[in-house]
Amino acid sequence: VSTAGYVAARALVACGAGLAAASVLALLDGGRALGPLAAAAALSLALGGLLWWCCAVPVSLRTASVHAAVLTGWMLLIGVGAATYLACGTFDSINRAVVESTTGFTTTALSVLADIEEQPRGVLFWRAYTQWLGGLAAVLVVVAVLPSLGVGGLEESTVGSDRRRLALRSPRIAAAARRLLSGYLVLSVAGVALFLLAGMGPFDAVTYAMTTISTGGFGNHDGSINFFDSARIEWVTAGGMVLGGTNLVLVLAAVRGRVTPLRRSFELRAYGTAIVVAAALLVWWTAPSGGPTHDSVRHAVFAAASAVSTTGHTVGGWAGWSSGAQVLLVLLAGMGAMSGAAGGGFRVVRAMVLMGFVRREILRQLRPRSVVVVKAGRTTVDEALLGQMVGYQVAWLLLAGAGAVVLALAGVDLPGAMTGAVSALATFGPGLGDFAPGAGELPRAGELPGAALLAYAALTVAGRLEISPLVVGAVTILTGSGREPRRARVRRP
Amino acid sequence: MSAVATRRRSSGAQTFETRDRRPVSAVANVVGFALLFTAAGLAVCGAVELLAGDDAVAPLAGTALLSAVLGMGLWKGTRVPNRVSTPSAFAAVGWTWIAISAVGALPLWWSGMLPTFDDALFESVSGFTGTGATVLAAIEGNGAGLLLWRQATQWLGGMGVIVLVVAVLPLLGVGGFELLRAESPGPTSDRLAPRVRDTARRLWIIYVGLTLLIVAALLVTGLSPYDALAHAMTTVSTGGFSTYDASIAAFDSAAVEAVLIASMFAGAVNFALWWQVLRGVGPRALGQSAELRAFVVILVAAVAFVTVLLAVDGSGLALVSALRRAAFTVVATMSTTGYATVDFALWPAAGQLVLLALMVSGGMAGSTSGAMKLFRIQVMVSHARRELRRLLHPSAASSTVPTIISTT
Repeated sequence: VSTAGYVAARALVACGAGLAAASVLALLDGGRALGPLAAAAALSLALGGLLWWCCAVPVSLRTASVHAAVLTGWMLLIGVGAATYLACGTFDSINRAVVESTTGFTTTALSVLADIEEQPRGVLFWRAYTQWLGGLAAVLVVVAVLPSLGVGGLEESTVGSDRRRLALRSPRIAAAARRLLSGYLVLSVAGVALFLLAGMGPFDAVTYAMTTISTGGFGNHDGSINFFDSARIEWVTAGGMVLGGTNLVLVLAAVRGRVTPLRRSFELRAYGTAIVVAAALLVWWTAPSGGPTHDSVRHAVFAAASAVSTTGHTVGGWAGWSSGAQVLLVLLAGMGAMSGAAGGGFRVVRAMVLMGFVRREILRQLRPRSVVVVKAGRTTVDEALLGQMVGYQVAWLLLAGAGAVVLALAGVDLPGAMTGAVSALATFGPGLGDFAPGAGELPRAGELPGAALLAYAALTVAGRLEISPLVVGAVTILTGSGREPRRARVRRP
Repeated sequence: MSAVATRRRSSGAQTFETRDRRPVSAVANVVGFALLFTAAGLAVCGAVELLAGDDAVAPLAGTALLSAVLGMGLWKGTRVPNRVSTPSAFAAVGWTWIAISAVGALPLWWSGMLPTFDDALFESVSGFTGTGATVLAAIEGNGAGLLLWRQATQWLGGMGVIVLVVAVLPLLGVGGFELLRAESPGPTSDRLAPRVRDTARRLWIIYVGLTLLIVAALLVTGLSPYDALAHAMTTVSTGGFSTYDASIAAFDSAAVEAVLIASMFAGAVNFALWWQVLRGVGPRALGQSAELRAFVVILVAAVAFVTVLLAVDGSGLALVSALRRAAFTVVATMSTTGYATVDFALWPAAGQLVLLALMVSGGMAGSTSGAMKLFRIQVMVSHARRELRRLLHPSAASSTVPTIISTT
């Protein structure tokens, strides 16, 4: 019985499946990079199968060991990704391979790959697949596992009621995981169909759907979405990004024709409002003299959808916009997508609860004896949960500040360091300065020193895992306290 | 007869005041009193202007007179209610700051020092709030009294005009604490004495005492009495205005900078701690203040970091002069004073980000420095740590609040 082994087995098998699909594509592509991809697929499937077979399903576990397992699983994913890139000869430096693999699995739109269009199709597919798998893994981890441990505090997707222990195989969690998985699959298939209808080739449709629905933001072309130069594709991408940032439970409900959950979700309303308001502001601020054109409106809406869903696709080069518009985009990405979605960031529901918290504190200043509860929609937020959210926010802000200093020390310019840290934590990608997007990707980011890129990648992992698994998991692994239940020691004063 | 009796009974506790027919308004009363202080400050600056032989005597004296008349009218024309409610305490503080900012702007505009009233208002608000941002293109060349008034706005605003009002205004029984709490710059309004008025008085005693100490120290370093007073006022209030275009760089003196570093630090230390020092509490007791320890540790670490950054920057700066620049800028930033001896916009990005972080943090709670205050940051960090620790040890109990030195 090992939690880490249980998680690792599933991570490896998922990787293996993607690598196998990439090998098939490589075969069709004239055999380019077929050997390494097939070898990687065989290796990870074999290893994963072995682990699957020999690691029993844990029945009951501690928060700390789940965190450690989650961290191990992610490190494994990133390792497999980087090893595959190196084996295929995509990168010649380990550093860059690790960065590309990390930003891939954390669904961040920062790529250090040059000459994207020259790459074999198998590698490109694998690159898009890392983002797709990363988005799915993040949803499963954050939504199905962590809330039941009292982590994260996303009340809409809370699954278990016991905060300390859980059975991974409990019917409720398994059902939740299945629901999320099917929601994700439905979205992906719909994305592929829409991209096909909008005029993409089958290969592009599949890969772009994977990087859009997962709110990843990689592209198969040097200009990313700009390459197609098609308004229809841009609108479809914008829609896909918005869906990628929507709670998957709600998506599934909508697919099944149930409207009540949609109507009742205050988070969906706020998420929609954020996108509409941001898009309206951007349309206003970026309109050329003589009024907004179809291009300017489309680019503004696209940017708003990309930022709020934390995808990171860019069209039309928003680096040329006013700094106010650019800062707004980074802040929107910081606020992030809905809970229970592949998108990252601070999450809309947390932002709303914290605003309610601020409102309450101001009211308390005026009427010190009044009793005010903080509400999320119609439910009252538990004080302990509120404490967790505030704690999470503080950790988030401290990490963003520290990250900015580290980025600056590693040689990023000042606007780049400040926005890059927020953007990385939100798994968005673009920012200002050195992280400014060009036509599609971040042209200056690839030339940054290796230390800056590694720091950026580390921040994306922290943001993707919502910090606590990173910290608690690392502490647990390092101190070796992740072993199964142990009698609590009484500490003497 | 019976009607009068009924009215008496219903008006309850206020019966003994029935002869006072002045309208009841805490807001007008407090605003009026604060304007009187402004008038006094303006009058002193007018006298300095007169003595220096500069030509802005009329604007200063005229505004002083206007402020005095207005203040007297508001103060004498109204009376304070028996209980000041929290909302009206907040309103009184808000209106006071608006009123003194407007009055403080008047001489700057009237004398022609600033061309429009908007500019003058900006300068005045920046002064009273201790911000230290200026729209004045050329500082030197203006009247001595006028410049002194600009420094005095920071001094008056630093400790808080309301604290001064509470310290002196009679008849402000229960409302005093509400007022103090509404203005209080930090998360804790420490009571230095059982009575609010005594607390306010002690705060001002420390404030004036510190100012005089700084003046004396600056005189020792060889500054003229005028320069010493002008800079002492903006240092203890962690404001940052200077009477020179080049700010502190105009003196080009290591001794002046050393004195100012110590003074800015003093202004950013919780005034409750200074009261403890006055009462003869030793350094060991002060060391129990977690906030003070954090303040010192962060300052030393930031100075070391920035010194190393500047020294290895490649500009060939000697270690000693890197240390001098780093120490002054870091202390000026963290205490939110904002004096400048160098243009730190030219520093490496990491150094600028550290300064930005220090700016957001600010000095200690209950001091004149602005921003979030270290105490809040400590509570926040401690809270975040507790939440993470709870994940590791779900049943552990831990406290959030760092130890604060007892102030009673």
